[in-house]
Amino acid sequence: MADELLAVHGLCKAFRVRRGSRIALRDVSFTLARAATLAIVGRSGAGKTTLARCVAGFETPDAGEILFNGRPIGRAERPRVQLILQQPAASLNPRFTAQEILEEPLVIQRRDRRGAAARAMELVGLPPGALGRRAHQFSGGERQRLAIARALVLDPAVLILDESFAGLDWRLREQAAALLAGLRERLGIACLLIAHDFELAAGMAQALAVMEEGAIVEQGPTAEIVAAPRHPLTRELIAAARALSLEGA
Amino acid sequence: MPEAALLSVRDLSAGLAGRAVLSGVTFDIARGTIVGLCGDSGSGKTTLALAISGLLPSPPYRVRGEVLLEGRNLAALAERDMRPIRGARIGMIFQDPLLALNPVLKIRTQLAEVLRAHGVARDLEELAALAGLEDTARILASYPHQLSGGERQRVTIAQALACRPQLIVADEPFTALDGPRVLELAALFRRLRDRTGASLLVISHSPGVLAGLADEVLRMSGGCIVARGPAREVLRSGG
Repeated sequence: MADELLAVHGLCKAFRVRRGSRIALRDVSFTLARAATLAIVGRSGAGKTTLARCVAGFETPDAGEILFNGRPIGRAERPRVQLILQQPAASLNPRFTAQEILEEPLVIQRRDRRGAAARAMELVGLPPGALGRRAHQFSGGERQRLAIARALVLDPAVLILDESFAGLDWRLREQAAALLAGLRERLGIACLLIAHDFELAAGMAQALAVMEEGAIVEQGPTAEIVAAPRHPLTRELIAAARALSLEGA
Repeated sequence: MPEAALLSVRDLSAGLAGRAVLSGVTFDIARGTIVGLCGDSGSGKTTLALAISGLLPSPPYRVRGEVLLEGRNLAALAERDMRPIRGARIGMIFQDPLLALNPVLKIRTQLAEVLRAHGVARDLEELAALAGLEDTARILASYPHQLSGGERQRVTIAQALACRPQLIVADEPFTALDGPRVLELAALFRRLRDRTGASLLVISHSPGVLAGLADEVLRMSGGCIVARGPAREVLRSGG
């Protein structure tokens, strides 16, 4: 447990709706070690994004606790858990240069900006010479890298990627997967990957957690789950992924 | 089978700010067939779909070549003449149903609006059921935010089907769906083709879904069609 970076215990969350409330998370628990990748998979509406938002601090859970390095996560540790949204490229300010985009989180956090933008560009494999370009002057894949670089300037220990690779063709996905693997190796960053695409999740994560109606119904090492899925939903997701692979189709 | 072709695209090119985004694109879509269009991001798939539907604004785009729907060249039509064709003869399904639906109108109103715009009378519940929607009375009385993602997508499919189009162009309809829903939507597309006789042009970067769905696949790269043929052959050759 020494390298247990993030531990989520008994997380519950309900939203008020017109008639009563809707439960989004039911007693969700998992742990994430340094440099590990855990993928949360499940069908649309299972509560995956709510979980990501709770862990990132954008939603307050009704019950449960989130531990960072063994202690309840507080304001000081929040920047070390960074959320990258769906369509990250769309979240880049079109009026800003890459340098301004990368320095903005540091300005907000009142931190030293010197050299940070160039360092983040180097980490994601973008040329530091491109710091003066605006978002639209980068290709789709480069914009993806820029969004990841923006999360890296705050020196995160955990990256939460909420469907950040949906809509990318396989070439860009492979590049993004290689980038994340490199960040894990070089910086020890752990990743929480939220994905509706089972094949993508199984290809990138060492461990899987399958969600249904707000609860984790099965979790464990990816290889074990793929070889012997126990829950009917896991079996359904794996069967669909096989049918959609070129070999299975 | 050129005589039976519903759509014939001939030497279609489009340029933007001096840069070619489509170059010499030529292909046919026969009646009642499903044609898949694949290629990497930025290869020109969506631009081609927009050009076929007359949605590439000119200027700034410079479009040359022919888009023949049953022999009539749509590329030569003014926007005023294209409007009755788009929506009526060519139905379109976009990637993000939330962006395609009006958030402050009920589904019943939004479907009725499409029919009214084209002067078509049709039973809305029957139309919703054709698009694979269940519990149609509830759906028609709902606002978009009250529906699930899958239901919203089927509403946009119902809009596309409203005027019984001969050609349906679907641009990345599978992107936001989980695996089981992708398979359901692919089955719905096949059912629609069988029931209505419409042809479909389905854009997807996911080769597996096209292999199970399309009669023929076109691969684009750099604004050109670089491969065409039976789905499995083209998709395997692309690597």
